[in-house]
Amino acid sequence: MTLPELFQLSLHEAGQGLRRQEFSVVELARSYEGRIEETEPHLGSFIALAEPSLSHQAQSLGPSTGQKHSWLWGIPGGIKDNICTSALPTTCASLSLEGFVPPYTATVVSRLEQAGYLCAGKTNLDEFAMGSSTETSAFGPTVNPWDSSRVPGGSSGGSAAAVASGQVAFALGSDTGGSIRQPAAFCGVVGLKPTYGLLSRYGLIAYASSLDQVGIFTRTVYDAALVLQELAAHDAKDATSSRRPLVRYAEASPYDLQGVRIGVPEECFGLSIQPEVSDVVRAAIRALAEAGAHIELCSLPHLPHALAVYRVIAAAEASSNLARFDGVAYGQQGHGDTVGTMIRSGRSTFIGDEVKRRILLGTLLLQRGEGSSRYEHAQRVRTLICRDYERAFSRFDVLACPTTPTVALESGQWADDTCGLGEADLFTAPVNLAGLPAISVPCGLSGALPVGLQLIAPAHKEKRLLGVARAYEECQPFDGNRRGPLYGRRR
Amino acid sequence: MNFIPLIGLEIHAELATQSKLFCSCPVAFAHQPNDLTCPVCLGLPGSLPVLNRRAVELAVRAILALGGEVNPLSSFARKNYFYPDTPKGYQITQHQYPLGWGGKVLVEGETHRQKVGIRRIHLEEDAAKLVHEGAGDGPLEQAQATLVDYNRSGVPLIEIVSEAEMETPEMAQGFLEEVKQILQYTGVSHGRMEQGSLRVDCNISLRPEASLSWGQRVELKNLASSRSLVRALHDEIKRQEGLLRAQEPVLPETRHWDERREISVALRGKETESEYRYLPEADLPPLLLERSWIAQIEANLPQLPGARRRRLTEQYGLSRYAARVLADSRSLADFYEETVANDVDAKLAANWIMGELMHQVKERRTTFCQLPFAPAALARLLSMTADGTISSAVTKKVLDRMCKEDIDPVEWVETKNLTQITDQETLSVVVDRILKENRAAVESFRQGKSKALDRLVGKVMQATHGRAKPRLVHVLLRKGLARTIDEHE
Amino acid sequence: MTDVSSLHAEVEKAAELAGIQLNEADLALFTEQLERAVMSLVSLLELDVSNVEPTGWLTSSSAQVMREDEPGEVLGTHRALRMAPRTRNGYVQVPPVMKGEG
Repeated sequence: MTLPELFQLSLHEAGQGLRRQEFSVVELARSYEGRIEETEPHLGSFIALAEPSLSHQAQSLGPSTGQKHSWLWGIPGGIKDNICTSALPTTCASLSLEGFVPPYTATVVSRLEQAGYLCAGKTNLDEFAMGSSTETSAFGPTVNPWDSSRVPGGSSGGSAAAVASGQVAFALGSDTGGSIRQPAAFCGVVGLKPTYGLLSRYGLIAYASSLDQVGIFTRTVYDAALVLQELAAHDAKDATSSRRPLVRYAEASPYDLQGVRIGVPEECFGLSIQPEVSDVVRAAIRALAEAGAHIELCSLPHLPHALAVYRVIAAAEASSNLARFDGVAYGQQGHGDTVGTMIRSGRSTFIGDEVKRRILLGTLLLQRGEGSSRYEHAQRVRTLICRDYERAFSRFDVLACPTTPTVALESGQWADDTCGLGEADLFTAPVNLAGLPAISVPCGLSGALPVGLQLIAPAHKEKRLLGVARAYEECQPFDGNRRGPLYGRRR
Repeated sequence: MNFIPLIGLEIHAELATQSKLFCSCPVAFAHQPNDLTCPVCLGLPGSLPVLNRRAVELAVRAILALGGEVNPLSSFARKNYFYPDTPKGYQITQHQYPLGWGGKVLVEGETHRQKVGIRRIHLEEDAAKLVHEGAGDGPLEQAQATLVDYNRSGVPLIEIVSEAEMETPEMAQGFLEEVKQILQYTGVSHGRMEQGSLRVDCNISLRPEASLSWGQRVELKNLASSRSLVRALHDEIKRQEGLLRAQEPVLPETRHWDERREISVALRGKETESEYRYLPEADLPPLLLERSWIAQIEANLPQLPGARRRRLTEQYGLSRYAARVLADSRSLADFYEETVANDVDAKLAANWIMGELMHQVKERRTTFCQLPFAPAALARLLSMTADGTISSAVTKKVLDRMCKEDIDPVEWVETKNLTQITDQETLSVVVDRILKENRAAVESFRQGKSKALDRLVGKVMQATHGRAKPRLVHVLLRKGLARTIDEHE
Repeated sequence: MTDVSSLHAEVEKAAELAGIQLNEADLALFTEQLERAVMSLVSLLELDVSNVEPTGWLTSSSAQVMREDEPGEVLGTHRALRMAPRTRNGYVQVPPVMKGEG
């Protein structure tokens, strides 16, 4: 049996190798550099690669101090390009922010830097994180590493593709309605969206402030726990940041599924789901039952309204959040003989059509009727959705359902998905409405494409969520990694 | 046909904090442009607001001082509009659930007395400052470019919205002055209109005396002082009366007061309320205040200007005018009361403080807190004045000296030998000499010009370096004059 | 809500408020697309939720935590203006707010 290449190791394995001094940080960095060089031209995962290079960054880390440093020390990671970094431009994949270098760094990235991670670069996304395919990026699409004719999902498609193909060991993304879990499912990797407020949003360029949450892509659940542990802490710069005591998310001992109550929302297996996807997910849920979990069907009666609620809230908040891109103090500037015409010309030229449509929808919804009544109406239905989850969690420890109704779609199919009218977010967006933690774990293949199992837990129960996910990973080892792009070689 | 105006004010007051409302940038007036900025107040993407506790405390203090109710649960909202002074494309303000509501302010003037109601008081952030280059004092249309200074962006403000129930521009001015004084007394705001730390907009509508229905409401903006408020309101009342008489419609619009030309101009493109698309500010959780904290702020409120004025009239027997002048600021009223506490006649102290000392303070562009002497020193000086040890002229001289340097008035009077000359013989010698040396004045007095007597008094005071007791000088001069006139005839 | 001509006017107004210029063709296309989006919300908006409180903040378990009034670090004029497309004498410069008639 041939030894794996270093980039094929999981984050935890690579960290162990560094601790045991089986290889150096520079060797690890070089392996990733080679992989990026090999795969990036056809994947397009990155908007910008880091300067200086990974191996240069590794050299300046200094010698290993053995056990003392963080698990992320010397580990290459990617940052979604809607998270601010003062060392690299932050564009949100929009022409309006082309060349914009923020004078500050997001709190989550600062925490990674303190841990000694290596920055591989800024990953691609749908413009301003609005989309499910990473095709609306102003700098070109990312392709699915499993099948280059398919999309990687979105909006964090670049991060998902980079982790799936071995360009990085982990990546940060953001999840407003499924932007981490959906591409994770499409690319066969683990995608974790924590509880709203657990990770600081300071430096995450807002799409919909009441839904946005920074999250993590890794190749294993345990890796996600290691990264989460490094990032979760109160941030005084974010008034919505949680002040709960710190939790150790990465436990060495396995999680016992015996007696764990898992609810399966029946609404998730309705009309819209591809039968093969449904079959793979049902099989995964059976595996959980065989490992000792107690499985029962449950109901989230307001789920059918969730997408509409999500669309109203996301569009309304986006219309306000994106008003700041006026080209006055930063960003690309339009022209005109008054400041008003200058702002309008700039926004019209440098903001893409899909983003414009959502801004217009949000503006339309907020301007209709008295005050913000439509938005408020959606917020009332949102309360009903939150209550559905509360009721479910009074009976269950976690909920299990598909992450997406389909596998990765062919490129170009999303052109019709204006204003998020597609159903890619069907099972993920309701979770954001309730601010809950959820994870997508690869659970098998439909044809030659990966399928994701979504697990959802009550707020701040990440430890339980990660435990169940890891137990699943162990009881039914899905060998997607070995069969997928991580081991695949093009050319 | 006569018309009755109805006026309401919106007062914006900058809170006297060290740092901005949602970021820790320092607050300072007249600083190098754009120096006091950070990602939050520049509206950079990804930045988030974090609320300043002191700003909330000052706003609560203002609400309580104005007699309003503090909402224990309030929240922030976004007011969306494009303007280069609003870097995020929205202003963070309070909309549905303001921090305070209700309240009444008693406005008393020479001719009027009214309790003016307050509708609401809320917290919000200030906008950046725009310089319209090339416009000078002229109309905005002449500007060649707009320059933006973000130093003011994010400075904490409270907006105080009065009920529209004032009937004269003078009443509106009285309300503005009273609110300003309350904010200054409580340390909520510096309240300097000339620096823009207090700004006022107003709305006004008219109805014919015989009618019950009010006309369209017009808003007036850019009122730089309480004087321009009065002028703009008079001008606007005249304008609306003219329209109504000519049976032309009054348009619901916002008008910009042009200070230089003293006319108002209609502003174009002003958003209506629904166009602001108010939205809850998801980046800031609801503001939940503990009742004990509110109670503590209330307990620490200083005596307010109205009560202070009443105390000055009741406790010291001062006139309403004197009480108004002395209670103008807390530091002045404190200075006065501390002076009187040192056993000085209250009215004497009031006269000297309101007269000579205020003149000195103004002349020296200083404040009562910054004077080089304590109220006790003034009391020692005025005690000598009261018991006749020194004359008024000397009192004035010593006071002038005390404003310049730290001297003890009693020691100074002794060492400089400034005590009042009350000895008749000594003064007679001087008076006789002055009468001899000023024949012309004596002659005019003889011809019935009584002013000549003042001139002679002045000469005697000059000769005695102001030490002569004025009343005695008068008596002696009159006697001397009578003598010389007798001799003459 | 189903009236397309009134939606057309609403989209035009929304574009103005959102600072987006649309030519006639864009406006027509966007109106058509937005109509689908708005139609997809009809059943949501028909739900009677008048007796349900709106979800305000997901972090409502804890009230807002405030910061102390302590001045902190600033970017300073140089770093603040470095990102600006046009500056002048320490200010950010933009075209005038209003256009003169001559």
